[in-house]
Amino acid sequence: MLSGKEIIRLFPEPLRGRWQQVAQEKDRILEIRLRSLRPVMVYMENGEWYLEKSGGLTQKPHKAYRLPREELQQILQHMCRYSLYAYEEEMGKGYISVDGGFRVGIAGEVVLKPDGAVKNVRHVSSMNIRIAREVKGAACKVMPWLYENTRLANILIISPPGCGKTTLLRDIVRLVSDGNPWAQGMTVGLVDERSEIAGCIQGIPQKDVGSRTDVLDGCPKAEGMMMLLRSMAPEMVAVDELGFRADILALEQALKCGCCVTATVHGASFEEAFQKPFLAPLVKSRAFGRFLVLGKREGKFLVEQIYDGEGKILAEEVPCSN
Amino acid sequence: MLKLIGGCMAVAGAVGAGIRVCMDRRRRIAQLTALEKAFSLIAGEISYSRACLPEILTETGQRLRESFEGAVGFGGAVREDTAFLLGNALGQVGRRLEDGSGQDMQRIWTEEMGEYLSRTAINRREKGLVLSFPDTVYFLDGLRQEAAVREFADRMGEAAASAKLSHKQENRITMAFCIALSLMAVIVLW
Repeated sequence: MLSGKEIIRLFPEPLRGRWQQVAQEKDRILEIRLRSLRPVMVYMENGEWYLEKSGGLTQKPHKAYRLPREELQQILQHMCRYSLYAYEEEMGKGYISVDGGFRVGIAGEVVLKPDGAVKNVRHVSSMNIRIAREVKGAACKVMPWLYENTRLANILIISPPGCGKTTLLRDIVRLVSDGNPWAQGMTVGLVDERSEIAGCIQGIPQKDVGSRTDVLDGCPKAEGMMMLLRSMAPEMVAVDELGFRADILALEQALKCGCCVTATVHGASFEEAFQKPFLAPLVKSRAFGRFLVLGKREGKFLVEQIYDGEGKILAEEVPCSN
Repeated sequence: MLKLIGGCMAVAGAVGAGIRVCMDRRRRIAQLTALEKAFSLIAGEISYSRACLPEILTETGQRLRESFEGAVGFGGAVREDTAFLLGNALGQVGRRLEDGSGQDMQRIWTEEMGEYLSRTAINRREKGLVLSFPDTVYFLDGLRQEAAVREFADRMGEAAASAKLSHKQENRITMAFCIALSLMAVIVLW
């Protein structure tokens, strides 16, 4: 479970007093939005709140605390452990991964390379702290549907942003790795490009991803999958957020090696998976045996539908809880 | 007889003071060399591993202690002590940055390195330079950050080289001055 301390630790010591009350709401916070010279906003399951200067939460905009520019820089330096250069590549992609497995989106003035590609973001003016949650047991009710004749199917989790796909993936990895009532534990290779799934600090997972899981932290998905296949002989490979053709090629390679694959992709429905050009051939070739479509109802995450490889609905509205 | 003993004591005291000043010069060179090595190692790690500073400082502290191990003799003992203290201070900065207390680097660096520097023989300008290190830790670009740290190493190296060049001559002058002064005092007071 997420502790308030983990949220407090995101901030430098002189500012921690102001974040005490927010940290107490740890179970309900989804995002913390910091914008230079603008109100600090906290998105919770029950709506949008403003942070007061005293540290309280209010829904009255005129009482909101406006974040000084220096304070934003101070927070950024603290999160980057006074080593902005070490986050150069991540910042170029628009985020930084910080201790505890939190991903912090950043925006500001973009620095371009001579070829027009994004090099970095300087003068950071906005930060979006996404609160990563470990929900042990989130996949318990889903697990019986993931096996085909005792063999783990290849799984694709389809979900809109913020519906718990990383949380569900983490728990599937944990249950597959440790073993569960439906199958014995398997060796799992996890490619955690954004350090969100395992939340590694100096290579050591801070979140429970199972005792048979090997984590490649901060590694691009395609390269990571190939590295794991070559060296760690995983029985299952897990990756988050497929997005490029290279990821699919590496995934195909894993399938050819006889590995099971569990992956996630952005999308709102099963049909959407067919429409993604990079993914469609793989889906049509029935490489995946299970599709889990996630959604949210009354603030609770759930698996709206579970499909088999032929598109037949196996189950509906399976809750993501123990 | 008393006059003779007093005269001898005056000369011995002056020589002792001269030796102390000469040893401080020697310590200063060893300390500047250790600082040069430390900043060099930090710059190298930034360039090679792009690791975060707390890790680099902890690692550098450790390596610095190890690299000076086995130094023998009088000069060796000075170097060993210097490296041990500096390694400890850097390691402590790294650990405090990682301990989750959230204290900012400027404060930690000033406290730990300030404590170390207060026990060294390096001059105020050099101490000021070392204490200003956290002000240069803001580059987004790894190459520029490395260059900024490398500059500290270069400046420490230059100061050590210049001290090495002049310290023998300065030591001779110091000893001659101390002996002459003590002899003059003996003659005047005889």
